[in-house]
Amino acid sequence: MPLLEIRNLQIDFGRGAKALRAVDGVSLSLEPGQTLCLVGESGSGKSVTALSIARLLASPPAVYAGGEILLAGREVLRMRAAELRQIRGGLVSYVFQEPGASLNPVLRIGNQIQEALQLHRPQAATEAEVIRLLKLVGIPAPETRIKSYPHELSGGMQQRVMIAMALAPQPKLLVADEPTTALDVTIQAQIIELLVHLRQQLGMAILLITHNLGIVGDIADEVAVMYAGQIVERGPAPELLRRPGHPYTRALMNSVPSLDSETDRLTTIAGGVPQLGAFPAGCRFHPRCAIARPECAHASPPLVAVEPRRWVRCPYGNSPA
Amino acid sequence: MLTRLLTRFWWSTVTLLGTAFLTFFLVNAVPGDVAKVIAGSKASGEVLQEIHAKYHLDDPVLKRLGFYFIQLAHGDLGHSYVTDQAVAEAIRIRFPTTAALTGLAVLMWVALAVPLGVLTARFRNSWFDRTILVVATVSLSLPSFWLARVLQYWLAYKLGWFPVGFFRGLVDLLLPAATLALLMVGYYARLVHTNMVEVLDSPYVRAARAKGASETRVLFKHALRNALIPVITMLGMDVASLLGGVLFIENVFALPGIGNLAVQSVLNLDVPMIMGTVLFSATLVVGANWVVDLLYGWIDPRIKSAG
Amino acid sequence: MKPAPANLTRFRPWLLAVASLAAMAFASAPAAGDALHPGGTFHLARADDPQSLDPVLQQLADDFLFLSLLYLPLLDNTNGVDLVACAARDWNTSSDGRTFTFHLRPDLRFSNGRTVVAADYAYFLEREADPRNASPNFALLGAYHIRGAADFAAHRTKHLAGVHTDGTQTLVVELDQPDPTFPFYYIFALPQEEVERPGDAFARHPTGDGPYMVDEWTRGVRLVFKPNPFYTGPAPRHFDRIEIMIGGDEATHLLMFERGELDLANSTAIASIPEPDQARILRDPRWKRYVERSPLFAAHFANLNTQMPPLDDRRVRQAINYAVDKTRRAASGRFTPAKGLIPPCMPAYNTNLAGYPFDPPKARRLLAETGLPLPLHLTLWYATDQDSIMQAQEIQADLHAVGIELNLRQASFSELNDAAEIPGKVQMSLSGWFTSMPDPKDILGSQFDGRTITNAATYNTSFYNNPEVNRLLDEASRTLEPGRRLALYRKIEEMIVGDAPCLFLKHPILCELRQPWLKGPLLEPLWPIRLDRVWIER
Repeated sequence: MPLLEIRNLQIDFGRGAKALRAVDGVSLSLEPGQTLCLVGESGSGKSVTALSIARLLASPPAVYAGGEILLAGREVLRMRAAELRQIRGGLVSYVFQEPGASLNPVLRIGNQIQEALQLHRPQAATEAEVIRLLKLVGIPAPETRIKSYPHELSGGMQQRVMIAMALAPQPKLLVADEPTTALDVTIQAQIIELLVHLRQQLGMAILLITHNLGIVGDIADEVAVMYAGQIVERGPAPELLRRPGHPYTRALMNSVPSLDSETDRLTTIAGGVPQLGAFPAGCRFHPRCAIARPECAHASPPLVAVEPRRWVRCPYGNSPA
Repeated sequence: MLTRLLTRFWWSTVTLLGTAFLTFFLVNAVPGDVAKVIAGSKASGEVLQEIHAKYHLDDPVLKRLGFYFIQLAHGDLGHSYVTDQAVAEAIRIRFPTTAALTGLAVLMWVALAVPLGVLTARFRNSWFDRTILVVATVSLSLPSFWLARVLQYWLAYKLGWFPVGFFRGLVDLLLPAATLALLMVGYYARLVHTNMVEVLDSPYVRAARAKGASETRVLFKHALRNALIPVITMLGMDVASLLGGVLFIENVFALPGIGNLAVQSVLNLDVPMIMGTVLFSATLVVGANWVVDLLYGWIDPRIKSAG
Repeated sequence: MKPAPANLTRFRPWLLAVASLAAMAFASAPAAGDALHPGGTFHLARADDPQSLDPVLQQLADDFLFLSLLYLPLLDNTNGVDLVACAARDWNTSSDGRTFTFHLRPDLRFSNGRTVVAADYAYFLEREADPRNASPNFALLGAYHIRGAADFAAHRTKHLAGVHTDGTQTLVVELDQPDPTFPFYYIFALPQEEVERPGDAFARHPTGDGPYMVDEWTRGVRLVFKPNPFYTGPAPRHFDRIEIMIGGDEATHLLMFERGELDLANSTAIASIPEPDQARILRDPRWKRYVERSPLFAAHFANLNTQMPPLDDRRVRQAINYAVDKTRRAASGRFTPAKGLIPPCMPAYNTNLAGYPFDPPKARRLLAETGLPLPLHLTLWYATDQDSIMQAQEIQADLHAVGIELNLRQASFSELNDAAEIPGKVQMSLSGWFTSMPDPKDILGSQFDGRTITNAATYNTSFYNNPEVNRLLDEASRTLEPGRRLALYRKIEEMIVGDAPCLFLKHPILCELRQPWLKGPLLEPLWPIRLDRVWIER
């Protein structure tokens, strides 16, 4: 049984006539111990999707308009408050984009990690355990560090603390929403390395949200690409990265600068991500698509399985085979 | 750290000196002769001259201000022109009443505003929130003298639950303090509300929820402490200015506080008393700044190490 | 001698009338000692502390009532007209009206135990006459021209030549010119050794020979009197304690009074019931029986500046008088409409004075006669009290009906005072006068003597100068024969009224609201509120 299964999730912002659909029929699944990278530009709906797994979206204004989210077989969208609190941390933990902002500035980090323990593994809510977790995520001198306040740590350290806090209740799934975006490039690499190391050690599944294709290759088992609220391509990481099937994926890959090629300018994708409620008619990507045809403006392509476990939402993308 | 303290001290002194200067010049610019207040408006020239000589009223303003500062440096606030009472003594006798009134009122309105602010933030946009918003807006729009009179009339005079006025025991301060509290609670409830709402939308609160914390834990352990930081600053400044005198309430309930003293001294053009009460009030405000800063540093760990 | 207190515009150093507690012995009230009326505590509330309890430094009319508790004057009164002996055993006036001899009671004692002697009264007079003491009464006393006063004030002599003692029991005062109103000037005994003691100011801890002494005075909080253990005065003392709470305003005090916490609703020298509560109290069956009224030696009027056109034309001033209805609000019983300046309770009151009845058509005719283009534009200055505000608006409405547009200008009491003294600045101002003698000398002389318009701080803010009036004023003030004196003053009043340098408005009546259990004669016209004469009976 998959650990996480999202079926045809639809999330709106606002109600009735003013409702804007941010997530439009997204389906994903994740097996225990597996790592899925959800890739897309800002505004694609990937964070909204990720937050909805533990129903962390502020509602209002968010409205769960349709679909299901099953976490270890349990229906998240129908859970009552008590059960929801149990799965948050106990089953699924989060690591957020800006670690500094995600830690309470007036509480010491030891206190915050201990809280995570207290909520789900009260018998292990000891200082010793906190120190062990800090060691686990590679924080030096953890005995003194537990008394630190978040602002006293560097960005990289803060993120490690967040990870420690996320791991404390021993979740089965770690959702990392752009965990490295706010950090330096070198620190980014370290954090990704840490995550790889930890998932091996702890046998945890990871859902990693990112707009940076560069890190995907190091960590992902499977990749899903989102654009304008829809999944446009999905498949095993090596395959997808080697031969992207959707023009958008291809464009994303081209825009990642490589150290060995000599380029004067960075390649970009022309245009911008469409605003909610202002999606183009037909294929949502067609105005920016390199291979767009006249039909693309009228017909909205469905997500099609071009191979087992390989989906592409474009009839004209290079077929993988 | 020491340089910071010294700089602070320097600027506080400059502020107080500036206040003294400004007040002295303003008072002297007001038309009217305090000698006439003392001796009567139709006092003869000789009598007026005697008073002028006694208090050096004919000296140039800067010279008089200089004398005043020299006197101040000796710790002497002077004597009232009109009653001859020592200014420091007058303030000392009156201050405890204002302080007790303010203290009691602060307890009342904070005890009411914080829960209201927290609950209306928690249940944002509910009928409860909207009702409290209206009530709060009304509360901070009420004129103080009107509310004081109305409460005095209904609760003290008609129903007899409280004394009508005068200060014989702490119980006599309950109704005046409640009046003051009612005037302030609206603003503070909204302040707490706004800060709570902002905090409840912040990333660390979301992270706390993601840990599985209950809403109560989120409210009290995570949100409230952060939300109250700006409220405490506001409270410090408000308390300082209230300690300078709560005029209308003191007047209606016949409480012997600083407010009455200050206004009477202005009406009388009683320069030493005016200077005394203004400097006292200014010192309180400057002092409150200090206290609030210290408190801020103590509550918010980010400030302490920023230095 | 004093301008109308509180809500009228001028304060002048208060003339201390001599109170006679011996009047009780001559009148029908029982004399006897304390045993007649049980003690108890008297409760009163005031907005402000008294400025000073030293009679020399005392100037506010509102604070007079404290003096009657602390000091015994040589002479006192009960009805405002007749003087009776008090601290003096008896007194007499020389035939030329210039020398006054007082024989003192031998047994009066100060609260420090010392016996009172004549020198103590002389000391009081000299303190008031010395400008170094900045006494608000300096000018008032100066108006009597005690012999040698000018030299004494200029520090050329060490003592007042006209004041001397004959042994310890006789005080003699000599004036430069005769003045039958001098006995109405209240003279007290002050112990020099206490006044000049170092440290604690006498003004805060006075030593007097009156029935009470100060027990405690915490400024801004409370003033408490206790019986003077050495009191041997003629009148009985009624309270064990008098407690005066300081603070609040008249509205708060009225509420406390209605709840029985105060024995008197208010104690300012005029009109104790706050304006907004007047109607309610007068209708309330609980209280209307306990509203006591007393006429005062006072007049309210509006000065018309005779030097500023168009007010320099007498017809305009008379038109103003005809245009205004003075009887509005008279039903409240708080004043009598005025035809002139002398109030009805004074012997000199002229019932035959025609004055200016309400006659708007006549006003319009007079204005038409002047040929001045209408509407006329005038400005009226007035102070911030309730009564002035209402009065100003009424005048404005009445004048509008005859073609005079009145601009209203409100000012603080002191600003108004100062402005009115400047020639050519203020056209009309609401004003008044309150005197503590039953003689019109003060009310007529102080403000309508044309020779004073050049004074720096003149009372004559109509800038009125009629040489005939000036001459008659001089003659009247020296006239000793009562009948002739009255006639002269009536004539003067007629002339002034004919010239209309004022809009004559009203004579105020003091209204006091007392608790049912407060007995005794509380009010009298000279020294309005007598706490020393009332007692509590439950």
